[in-house]
Amino acid sequence: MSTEPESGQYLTAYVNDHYIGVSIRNIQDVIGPQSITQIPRARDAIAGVLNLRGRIVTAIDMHKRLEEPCTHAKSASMGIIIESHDELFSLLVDHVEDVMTINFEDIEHVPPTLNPLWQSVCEGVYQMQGKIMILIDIERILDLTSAKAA
Amino acid sequence: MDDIIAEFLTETSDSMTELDNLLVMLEQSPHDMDLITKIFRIIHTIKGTCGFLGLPRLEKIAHKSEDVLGLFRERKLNADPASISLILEALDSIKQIIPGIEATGHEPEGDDSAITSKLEALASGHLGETISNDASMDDIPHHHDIPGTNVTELHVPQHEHEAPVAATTTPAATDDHQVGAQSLRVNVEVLENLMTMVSELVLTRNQLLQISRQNKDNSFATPLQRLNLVVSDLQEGVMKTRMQPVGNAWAKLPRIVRDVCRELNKKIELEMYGQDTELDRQVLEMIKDPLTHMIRNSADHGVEPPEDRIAAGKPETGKIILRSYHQGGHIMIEISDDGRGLPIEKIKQKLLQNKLVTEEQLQTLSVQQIQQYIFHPGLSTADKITAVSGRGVGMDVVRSNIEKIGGSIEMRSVEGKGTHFTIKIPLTLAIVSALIIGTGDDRFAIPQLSVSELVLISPESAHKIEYVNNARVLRLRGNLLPLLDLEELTDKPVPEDDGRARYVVVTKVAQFMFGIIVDKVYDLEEIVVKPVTRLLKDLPLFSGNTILGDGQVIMILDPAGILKASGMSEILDSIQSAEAEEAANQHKGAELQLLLFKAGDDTLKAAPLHMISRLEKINTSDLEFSDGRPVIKYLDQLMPVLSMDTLPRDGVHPLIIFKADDRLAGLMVREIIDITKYYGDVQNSDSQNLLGSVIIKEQATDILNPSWYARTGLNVAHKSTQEYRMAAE
Repeated sequence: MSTEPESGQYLTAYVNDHYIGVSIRNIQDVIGPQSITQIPRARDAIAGVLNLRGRIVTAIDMHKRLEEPCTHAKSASMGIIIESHDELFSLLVDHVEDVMTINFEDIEHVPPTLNPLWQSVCEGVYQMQGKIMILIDIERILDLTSAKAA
Repeated sequence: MDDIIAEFLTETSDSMTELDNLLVMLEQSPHDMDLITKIFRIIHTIKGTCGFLGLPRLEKIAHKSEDVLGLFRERKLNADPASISLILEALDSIKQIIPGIEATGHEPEGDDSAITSKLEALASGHLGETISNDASMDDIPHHHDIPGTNVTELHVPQHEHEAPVAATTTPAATDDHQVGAQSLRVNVEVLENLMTMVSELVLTRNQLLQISRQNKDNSFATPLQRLNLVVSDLQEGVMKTRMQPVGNAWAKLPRIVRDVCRELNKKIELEMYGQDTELDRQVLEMIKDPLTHMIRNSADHGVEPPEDRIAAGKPETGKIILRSYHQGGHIMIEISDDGRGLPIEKIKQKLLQNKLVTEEQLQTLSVQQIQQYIFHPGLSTADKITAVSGRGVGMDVVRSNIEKIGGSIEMRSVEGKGTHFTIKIPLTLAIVSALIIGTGDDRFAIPQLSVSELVLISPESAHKIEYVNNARVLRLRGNLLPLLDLEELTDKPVPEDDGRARYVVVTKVAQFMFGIIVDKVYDLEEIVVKPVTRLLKDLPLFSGNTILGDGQVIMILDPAGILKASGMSEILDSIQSAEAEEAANQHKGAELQLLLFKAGDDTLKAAPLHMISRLEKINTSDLEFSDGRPVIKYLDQLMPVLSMDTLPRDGVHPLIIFKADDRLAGLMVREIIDITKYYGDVQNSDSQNLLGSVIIKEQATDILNPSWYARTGLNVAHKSTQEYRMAAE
């Protein structure tokens, strides 16, 4: 950890009323609503594939991934584009808020009271005034083997 | 250091292939000095580099081989097949060490004394021999060539070699330099990336062109046109970088043929034409193994041993010809040999043995049809076949590999004359032509190569979807084609058959034909196949995805995966064999399986096999009587038993159990003869208890009507019971 910087920047977003943070190191872009091609027989969490400037992006529906109900009609409209192992993914969230800098030492361990599914995709939590931000572990979010099959 | 080793390894593996070929050539012309020098030089370079890089094992093997080659060069040792074999063996040991270095960067531990001592023995043995020969011959100058005593002999000539080597190397080396200046090694990954980017450029261009076409007058039209041309040229140029001469895949073949010849004492000449024909690197990799396999097959099983050839009036030396050329956007590769061809009788035996066809079907198959069975997995996977039938081992694998890259393979063979294979493969895999199809709002691409035809299904058209056991089939030119619904495959609710027009995409996977029902057929498009994300790898339906000209991403259907996912391959297998049977009998009319038996008088009787549920043997004493009729307890119920003559009083008799309209009836007969097939129409009979009469085994045979017996059997039974009673009284 000694060579690592002391703080990192996180993009904050909402899935329903859950406040989440994604490290900007993985983020390539944030995009608005796109036409998505659905994939038959794919896992529930995979919303489909889309074309982003000539590259094929796999869209992950964060509601379904986190087994959250879709509370409003126009939910999951923003896409956070992340790159992992040379592939692009789009995490579909309700809306994207801001980029904030967080000191790593302020990041707390995942509270054991968090539901197991959230625990499995969370790398830590950050306490803010009146709310808690859940920091998402990208690799674990993309590991759908544990997620519910279609 | 690592880079140097990596470079050395690439160079060495190239040299190894070259050496293999040069040595095989040397074997044919053992006195070709240029050849020997060339070989010597390559080995020498390897030896030198190994010494420099600190690879003692390789160095030693190369060194010892060089010693032997040195003797060839000084004409002190004949380049006879035995010595060449030894050198080839040495090369093989080098090839075995190389992967170890590749993996670790260091030479793996190991003992090469087996090969080095053999090389040493060859070098020293002949060295001694030459000296004694020379001595007996006479003079001293020769002794100058080999000065010193035994211990130094091996080394001293070594140094002497080096001077001439340097001399001969110089011109050749300048050649290399010239070539080096014109070509350079580029990492394959860089090329692949370039290719992907160009593909994207092409797609973007297509999008732009589409937009431009929609807005007629705009100032973009002219520059777009120029961009269009440049992009096309660029695409072509990048494609060229991926092209490699097909000869690269052939490089190993002369060695293989040679080894087979040595092993089996055959004489075979391998002629290769069109090595320069270029094709995509990826395709090249995919055909390497099938080609090797086929050449080995030809050498091993195709070409006969010299004595057989002479006996058959053929030249002693067999010939395998490998030819490659371009034809209509495809690469054709032909492999032909003048060997014994496919042994029809043996294949027939195997077919029967493995129950792939029945005796009757076999009668109707043409020679060509029988030959095609060498591509059948059932014929080749069984181990015992290899020893007997020769060719056909793994030919199904060859075919499936070629079909995987969208190619096809054809075969002609004349027994006694030879076999000729024609392989047709696409130039590249990067861009494929695909048919865009759809259900509802979804669109999918299906590679055009796996689509054999499109059939329109509508209330007006001649083709209709039929049902066999709830499975949909299409009757297409007399064949039953199983159908899958794309809507079902993609988990969409299947609407009721509302009589709307739909299409059947007739698809072929290996030997299986099936149809996919779709709603719409859009267009043929050139698509760039992109692999699906790792999150979708577990979906068998798709082989990739692609971006269409309009920018939408669509999934590419994989017919083989669909077949697997639908669990249809087994069904298809059975349909196919049934069809083969049907096709075989087509010219003979309908087929009827008959049970032959004797009952009543001595004439032959028959009953359709499909209406017979079982054959039993009963003892007359087991008969019971219900309401005066003979019955027997069978499957927990009482079944009437009838007979065509009076019921025999005692003893065990065969009983045929008819099943018709869910009713069972037993017919007691005298003797059951056989089961046979009858092809053709049955002559109708006036009597209700007969379906008709046919001629079987040159006898007029009555075919009983089992349903009549089951229906009215009760009366007959009643009557016969009375007779039985009367007889008993």
